[in-house]
Amino acid sequence: MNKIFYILSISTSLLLSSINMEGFYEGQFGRGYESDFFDWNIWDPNYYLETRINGSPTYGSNFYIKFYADKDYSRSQRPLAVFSEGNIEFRNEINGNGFSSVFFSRESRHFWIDGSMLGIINTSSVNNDGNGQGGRFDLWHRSNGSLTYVFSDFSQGEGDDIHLLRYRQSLFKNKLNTGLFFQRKLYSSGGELDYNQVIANDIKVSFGRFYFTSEVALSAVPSDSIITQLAESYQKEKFLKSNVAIKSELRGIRFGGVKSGYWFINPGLFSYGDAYRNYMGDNQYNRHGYWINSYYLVPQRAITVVLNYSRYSKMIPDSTLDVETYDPTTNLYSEMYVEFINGFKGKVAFNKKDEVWQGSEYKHYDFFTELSVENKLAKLLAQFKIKDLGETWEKHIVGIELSVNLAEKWRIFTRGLVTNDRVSARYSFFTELQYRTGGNAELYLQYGPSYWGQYGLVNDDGFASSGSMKKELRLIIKGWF
Amino acid sequence: MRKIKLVSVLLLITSVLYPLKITDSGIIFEHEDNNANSVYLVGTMNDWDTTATPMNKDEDGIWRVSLKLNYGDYAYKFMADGNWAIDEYNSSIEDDGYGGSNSIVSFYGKNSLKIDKKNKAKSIQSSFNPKVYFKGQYFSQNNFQENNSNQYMLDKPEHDLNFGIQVKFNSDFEAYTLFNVNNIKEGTDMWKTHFNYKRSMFKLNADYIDIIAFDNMGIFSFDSPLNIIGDIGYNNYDFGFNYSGVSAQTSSLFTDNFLSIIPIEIYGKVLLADKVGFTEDDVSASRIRLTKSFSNKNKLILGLSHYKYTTNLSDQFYQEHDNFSYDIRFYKQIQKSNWKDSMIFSLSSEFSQYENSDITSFKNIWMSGYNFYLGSSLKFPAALKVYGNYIHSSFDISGSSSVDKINLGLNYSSERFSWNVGLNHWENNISDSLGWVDYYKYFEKSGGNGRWYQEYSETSFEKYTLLGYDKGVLLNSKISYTFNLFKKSLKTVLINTFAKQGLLTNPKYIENIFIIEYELSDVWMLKYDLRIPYYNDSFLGLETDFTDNKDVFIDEYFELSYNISSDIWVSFGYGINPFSMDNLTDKFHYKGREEYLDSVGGLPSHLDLYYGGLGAKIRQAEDSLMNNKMILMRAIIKF
Repeated sequence: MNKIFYILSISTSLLLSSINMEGFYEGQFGRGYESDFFDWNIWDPNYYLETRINGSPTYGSNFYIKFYADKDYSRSQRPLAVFSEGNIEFRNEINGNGFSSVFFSRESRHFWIDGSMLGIINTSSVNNDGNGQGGRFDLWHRSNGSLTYVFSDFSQGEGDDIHLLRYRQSLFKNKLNTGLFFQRKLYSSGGELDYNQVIANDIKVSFGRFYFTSEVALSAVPSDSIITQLAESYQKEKFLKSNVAIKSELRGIRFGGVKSGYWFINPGLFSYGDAYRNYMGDNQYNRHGYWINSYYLVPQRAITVVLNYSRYSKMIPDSTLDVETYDPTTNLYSEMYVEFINGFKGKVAFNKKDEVWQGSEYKHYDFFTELSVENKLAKLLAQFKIKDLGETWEKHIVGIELSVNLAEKWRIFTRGLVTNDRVSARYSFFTELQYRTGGNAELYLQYGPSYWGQYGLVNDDGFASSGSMKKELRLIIKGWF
Repeated sequence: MRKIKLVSVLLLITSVLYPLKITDSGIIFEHEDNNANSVYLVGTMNDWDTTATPMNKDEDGIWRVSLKLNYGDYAYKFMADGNWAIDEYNSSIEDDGYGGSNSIVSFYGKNSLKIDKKNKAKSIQSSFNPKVYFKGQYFSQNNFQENNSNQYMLDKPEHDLNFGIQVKFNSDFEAYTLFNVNNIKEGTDMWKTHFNYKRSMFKLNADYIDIIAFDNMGIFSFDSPLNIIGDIGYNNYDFGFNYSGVSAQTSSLFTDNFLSIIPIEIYGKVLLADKVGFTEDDVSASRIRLTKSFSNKNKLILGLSHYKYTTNLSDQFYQEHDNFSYDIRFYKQIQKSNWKDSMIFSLSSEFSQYENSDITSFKNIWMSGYNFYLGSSLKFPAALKVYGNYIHSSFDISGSSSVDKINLGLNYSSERFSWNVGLNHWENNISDSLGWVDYYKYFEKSGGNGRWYQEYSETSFEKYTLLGYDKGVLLNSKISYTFNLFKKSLKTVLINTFAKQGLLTNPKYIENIFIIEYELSDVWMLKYDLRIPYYNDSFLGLETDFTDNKDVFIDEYFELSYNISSDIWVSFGYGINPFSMDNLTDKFHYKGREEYLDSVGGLPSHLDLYYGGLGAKIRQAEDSLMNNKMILMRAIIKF
């Protein structure tokens, strides 16, 4: 086998000694209405050229680089070619056993490690705002096990280090999957105790249609004496309050039948100890609760009903009375989703959140409804939301998106938003004429702010709180190669 | 990794419109490329084997291959003449994880494929101008250094990219420009690291003359024994680094045409260069070489070289080094039918004479001298080569000085065993009025060649204990033997260097290097490198005593490496690695230990002014190196 690989390496080195290049070019030209005095100001045009190069000189080796020239960078007069990302990778597999190693610079994807219920790793927490540099090693064997190790240095700041280790093993024909996490963040201060560490074990068991998932984690922050002492004081009597986090969920419970339809229920519970700290992932602590998520599929109708309930409480120690009180938060979410004929779809939802915080009660009741339709000619989306229903700061938000295909290459897109509360009414209007010159070039002529409602329409909290119309005119050209 | 990739493939599949056809004999993949000479289908169906599935060009110019596949999802690309291409008629693509795209096909039965040739892929890969090539290398180094708390902390990783663009305008004319990215050298955050221009070259091969225009390219060396151009410093750099200029030389066509007129080969070369930067340091050099062959076995070569260096120090004042040299060489080749190879005897001699002058309104010669070389070598038919040479350098500055050097050596090389041994003896006749600064400048840093401005020193670390003495000897031995252990190759290398004042005196410095390289497989290698220097210099105050653990500086390095080729490898090591990249040439060499010691102790710049204090600096540097153990992960891909 080795000889075959060797021969392949030589023969393919001649064939593979090439490089692929892809990229993206964008130019933006615009003007904005600054004021009645200085009305239409022409902005500095912005040019952006991104180039990606991928090379594979031999079988089993790869390198990748990405660089860009951006006129906006440093406000310089001439674009500079900035090295943006890169990696150098080796890999091999023989008979189901293999390895891969990659040394990377500023590529967040290498921090990705398969999901964790407790959110043990949050890529954005460990990738140093996308500036992390380090290495990743993956080893796997044919007995359904694999190991991943990632190390990284924070290229900015003081140079903290991250070490992530994950082992997974699948057993009994995938009936039982289990894994171990070990991760540690070393601080550049370099002290023996200057680190944050989390060790976790997860287990996934399937039996029949039931699927049980659970994860437990232990954390340590030795340099933080308050947290360390807190963890030690809890250890004996109140174990769940110490440096432990647990989360479990059961899927597969259902009621009903074929004629009446099934109601699926997925319950779960969690506990994040008071002394649990994870600065590399989901850093919840002092939170204990449960949830019941459910949905019902109406038979022979394209209707889905969702009903989710969750409750958690936080321990609020009262130092004056020397007692522990618990402030609960409950959330009830109900939704009905209907698909009508001719491409119409509708949704109605109500979210009821009740929160207690140090004796005071807070209510957040939101009502949401949506109607959409799509066909070859156009796509329409209309939404209405009442945010914080019944409260002084209640808001009503209406949003509409309309996209019309004018011709094979021409399309017009419009988005409008109106919000109304007891103090004021605000609106935003955006329209865009799109021209697509084929698969790899696009041209846009825009009026208005494109950003309000871009993600979630009426659920854009930025617009709901302070967004308003801005007169802007833009010409954008994009091309991919 | 590929499993993870396949899972992501499954997740990313959406609605697909395929150009693919399904027949009784399987799925037909098609690729349109009229200019390609060969096209392969490469993907998960053949484990990304680039040669497993060749495609055939049909009469309509379309490349096709028919495959029988099991139900499933497959990622694939086409490789046309070594260039990757996705299926342009397949709209279903996924990120291949390397900045490009894979085409996706989902096959779940005869009716599972739909065809729509109008639908193009979302992204289009560039098809390069066939005259443009990319050449360079990408190197990454990750060091974990032990801190005071015994924790290994990762230094800021180094990513060094040399990205070269070569344009072959036609078969006779090409250009090459190299850009460099290095976050450590630039000393800034990675996201601010730029592509920086590094070097370039134009090359024109005309009918009778070859012209090279260069900028910061070390590519020139005259082929005479004294190397008045090239062989610079103890790293033996070629000329051209940090210089830009142009050279012209006669082509083989010129030589052949001339040979048809008179039976002598004529070769000529001219070089003009300016030092990169704001200083006005110019170099001009030329060489003429006449070669007369006798019965294809004996050869006589006569050469004439001229070299001039000029530095303009002000409007009215410049300095120059002007050198003429004459060389003669004779080669005799003896071949017998039962010999494995021919026997080659050579005799060489060169005489060069130079003047160093200050030029104002008149010329003031402040130094003059000459170098004389006489050498001979004999290469035996089988495995042995012996050589010897004598160099006499004489110069006149603050009185008359000279140095005599004798080099003797032999190289023996067989299939499993090799032994290179060398003796380098020198004797200085130093003028009494020459102080340390001038001694180091003229005897050591420039090796007596008269080039006072030489940037790279001729004095390697192993010679440091012998500086300032009237005479000295360096003895070098490198023995290599390769065993078989469990049917795998185990190479052992022992290198010893002795620095002595005289042949029979006790050594003042010995370096012992022991290297083991064990091939675990065709690609995996285990390496061990042990270096034990021994100092015995009372003047410098460096005296190694292993029993008292005094001045003991032992460096070890362990490494596991995965080598696809000599230019493509990844390694994981611990200890002190002497195998480092030369910043000038971008090539690896085993000088990492010396470079580290020099940089920590600031030794070359210290020696420019003083010899005193050298021992303390060496000790400080050796201590620092010995405590510089690290976990080292490196990878390089040359393309």
